Amino acid sequence: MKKLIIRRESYYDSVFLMLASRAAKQISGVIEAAAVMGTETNVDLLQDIGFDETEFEDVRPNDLMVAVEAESEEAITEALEAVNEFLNKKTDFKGEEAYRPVSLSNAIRFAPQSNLVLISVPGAYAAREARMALNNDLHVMLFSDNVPIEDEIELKKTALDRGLLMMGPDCGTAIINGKPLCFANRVRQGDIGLVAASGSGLQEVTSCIHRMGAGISQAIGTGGRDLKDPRVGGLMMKMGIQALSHDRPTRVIVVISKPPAQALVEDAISWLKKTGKPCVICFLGQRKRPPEEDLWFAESLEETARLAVRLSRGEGFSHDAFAVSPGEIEEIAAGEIKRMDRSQRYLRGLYAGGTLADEAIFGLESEGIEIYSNVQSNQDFLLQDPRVSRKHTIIDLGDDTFTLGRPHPMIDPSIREERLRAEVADPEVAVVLMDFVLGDGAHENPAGEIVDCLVKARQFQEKTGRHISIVASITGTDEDFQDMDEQKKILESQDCIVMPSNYQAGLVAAAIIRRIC
Amino acid sequence: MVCDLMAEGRIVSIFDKAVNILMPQGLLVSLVERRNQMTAMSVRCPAVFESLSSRRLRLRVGDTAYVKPDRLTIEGLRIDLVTARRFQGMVDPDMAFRFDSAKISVFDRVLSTLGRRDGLLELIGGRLSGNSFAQKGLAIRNRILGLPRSLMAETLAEFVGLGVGFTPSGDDLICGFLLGQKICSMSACRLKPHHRESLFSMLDEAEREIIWGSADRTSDGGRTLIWMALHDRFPRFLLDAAAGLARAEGTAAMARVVGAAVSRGHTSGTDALVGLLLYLQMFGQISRQ
Amino acid sequence: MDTRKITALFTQDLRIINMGLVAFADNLKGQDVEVVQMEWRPPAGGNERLIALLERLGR
Repeated sequence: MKKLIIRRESYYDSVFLMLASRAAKQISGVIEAAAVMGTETNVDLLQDIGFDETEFEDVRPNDLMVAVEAESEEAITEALEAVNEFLNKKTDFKGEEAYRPVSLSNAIRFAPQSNLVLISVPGAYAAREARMALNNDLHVMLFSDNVPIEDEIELKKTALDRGLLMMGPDCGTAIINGKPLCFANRVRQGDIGLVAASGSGLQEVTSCIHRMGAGISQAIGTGGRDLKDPRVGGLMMKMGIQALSHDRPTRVIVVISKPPAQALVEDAISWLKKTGKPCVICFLGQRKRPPEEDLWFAESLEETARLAVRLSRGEGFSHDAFAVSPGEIEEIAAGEIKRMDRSQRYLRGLYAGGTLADEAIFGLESEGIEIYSNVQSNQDFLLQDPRVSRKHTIIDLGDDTFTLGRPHPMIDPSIREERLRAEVADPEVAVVLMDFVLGDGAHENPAGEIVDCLVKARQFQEKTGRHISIVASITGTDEDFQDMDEQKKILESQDCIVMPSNYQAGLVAAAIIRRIC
Repeated sequence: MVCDLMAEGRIVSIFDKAVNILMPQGLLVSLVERRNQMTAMSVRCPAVFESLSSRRLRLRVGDTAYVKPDRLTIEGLRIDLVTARRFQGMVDPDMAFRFDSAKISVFDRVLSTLGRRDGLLELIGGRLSGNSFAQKGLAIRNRILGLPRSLMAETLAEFVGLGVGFTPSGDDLICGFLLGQKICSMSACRLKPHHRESLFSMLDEAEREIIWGSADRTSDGGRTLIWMALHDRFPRFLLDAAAGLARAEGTAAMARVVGAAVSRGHTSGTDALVGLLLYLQMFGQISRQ
Repeated sequence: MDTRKITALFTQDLRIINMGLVAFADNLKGQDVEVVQMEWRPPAGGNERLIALLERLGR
C-alpha cells in the first residue's frame, strides 16, 4: 500500500531529505520511502510508480512530498511519523528558502499562470529579459533604467502588437488591481484610472485621491521617456489611455507627466478625447488651459487629484477639508518671518521625488521666484555643481549624480540628511522645503531618520537666534505601512510645518519668500 | 580549489557529522566531519565539528557563511579550503588514457554484469529494470545517437533531474559523460592534428549554459554535481575509477575497478560509469600514438 | 490597438515573476500577491557574444 503527504512551502536541502528518507526506510515493513521536493520531474516519477495524479494538484517545487510504500497501514504511519519527527527536529528552522528559478523560461515553466514580469536587473540585460517576457505573452513592468532608447522603442512596439503592458523602462510606480508595484502607495479602489510618466507624481496624485475620500481603478506607469522623447512617441501612454477607456470600472481618466515634447501634448489630448470619459491632464510646467469638452487641465498634482475626484463624485465635492486657506497660509508665513533675522533670505528644497521637485520649481517660478536646480530645463539656472546651492535652490536628490553607487533617497534618507546639515548651517537660508514619500519600497521611517539633524539644527538656531522655516509634505495614505500620523507628529515636534500636499507646501514657502523680498 | 564561488551562503541544515550550506546559485556545500562525503562539493573540516561539540562554536540554521576560493568563514571560524581534504578533483593532465574499442567493450560487459539496477544501467543494454525514468533515459540516449553536434547540449540537458535520490540518476550520468569528454579532449591534444576533427570537441560556454539552465529542475544535490562537472571537477571516486580503468589490463582488473565504483551510493556509481561508457562508445575511440 | 489582454489583466489576480530586487517581491508577498522570485544572474557570465548566441538558440 502507498501513501503520499504534501507539506506546502517547505524547502529542505537534499542532504536533509536523504537522511529523512533513510529514517523512514529503516522502519520495518517499509518497502520504499522518499522525501523529495515537488519538482515536475519528481511529480512525474511518483505518478509513474502508481500515485494518482489528483494527489499532485497544485504541487509546486517548494512543496515537500513524502511518499511511502509499505506492507501495512501501521508501517506507513510509523514511517510518516519518523519523517515528521525528523523534519520537525530543527525547531528554529524557518524553511523559508523557496524555489528560485534561474532563468525566465524556467520561471514560466514553474509558474505558467503568471501574468506579469517585474524586472529590476541591470539596464544592460533588462531589454533582453523584457523581450522574452513579451514574447511569452506576459505583461512587463520594467523598473531598470539605462536601457537604450532603441530597445525601449522596440519593446513598446512589440507590446503594442501583442496588446500587452510595457511599463518602462525607468518605471518606478504602478498600482494594478489595487496592488502597489515597486514604489507605490496603498490606495483605496474606486473609479479613477491613471496613466503616468512619472513615479512620484503618480504617488502624490493617488495619495491625494485617497485622502480626499475617493479611489482608483488602475495606475499605469509608462516610464520617464514615454512622452518626453518624440521617438518613443507616447506609445505606452496611448495604450494605457486606450485600455482605461475600455475598462468598465474606470469612469475618469487622469494623465500625468513631467514636461512632454510639444507635439505629444496635442497627441495625448486627442487620445483622451476619443475615450468619451471625463479626463484630467497634468503636464507639469504647461501653463493652464481652459477645459475642452470634458477634458480638464491641472497645474499641480493636488489640483489633478481634486479635479479627478470632482469628476468622479460630481460637483458636490468640496475641497475645503483638504486645503489650507490662503488666509491661513499667509498667517503661517507671517509667523515664521518674525522669528528670522535679516540675513536670511533663501529657499532650499531637498527632494527625494523627482516630479515633486519639478512641481515645486514650477510653482515657485510661477510666483516670479527664480530657482536654481540640478534638474532645471532653463540652462541659465542649472547648477554648476549640484552639491553646492545657490540663492534659491531646489535639488532632486534622486538624480543620477547623487545615486551613483548609493541607494535612492527614498530608500536611504542619509543622503538628504547630509545635505540638510549643510543647508541649515548656511546663515542665508530662510526656508527648507522637503518631501517625505511613504508607501511600499520607501524607507520605514523617513521622518525619524532626519530627526536628529533637525534637533541639532533647532538647538543651533536657538543659540544664534535664526529660525529656519522647515516646510514639508507627506506623500502617503493611512493604509501605507509607515504610520503617516506618526510621521507628521515627528516632524511637528521639531517645529516643522507639515502641509497636506507638496503643492501647498510650495505655497507656504512662496509666501515666506515673498515677504522677505 | 574546491569551488570558485565567492559568495554568501546560508546554513540550511546542521547534523552531527555534516553542516550544509546553500549558495545563491542553488548549490549545496557540505562540511563533513570525516570520510562521509555528502554533496558533490564536500569539504572535510574536523575543526568545525570539534568546535561544535565543545560548544566553542554555535551554529544556527540561517547563519551566513562567507565563501571565497581559498577559505570559508562561519561565525568567525575560518576554514582553509586549500589544505582541507576535498572529495572532488580535476582530471590529471599527465594521466595517459587509453580506451580502444576492445577495452571499451570489456568495460561494457563488466559494467552490465556488476552495475546496480534501479538506475540507468539499462541504457547500455541488458535486462530492463522497469523503472519509468530509465525508459525516458533510453529515449534520450537513442536520440543522441542520431543528432547533429549543435543539438547535443540541449538533448544532454534532458537527463538533468531524471530519477530520484540524493543525486538523481540522470545527473550522475551527465557527470560521467562530461568526464568522458574531458578525458578525451585532453588526450586529443596528443593526437596528430587530423584526428581531432573526428572527435567530439569540448562543450563551449554557451552549451554549458544550456545544461546549467536546466539545473533548476533537479535537487540542490544534483545541481551541485552538475555545476562541478561543468567546471571540470569530478567526484574523487569517479576520477579514481577512470584512472583505474585506463591502467587496467584484462577483465579481472577492470572488474575490480568497476566493482569498487558501483558500490558508491545507491546507483550513483553505476549511473556515472554508464555516462562515461556512453561517451566512450559514442565518441571516444582514442589510442596512444 | 487591441487592449483586451490589458483589460483582462485588470480582472485577474496578479501572479508575478520578480526578476531582480528581492524587496519588491517581499512587499508584494506582504500583500498576498503570488510572486515567484528569480535567482537571476547575467546570462553566459555577462559575455556579450555568448548572450547573442543564446538569443539565437532561443534561450
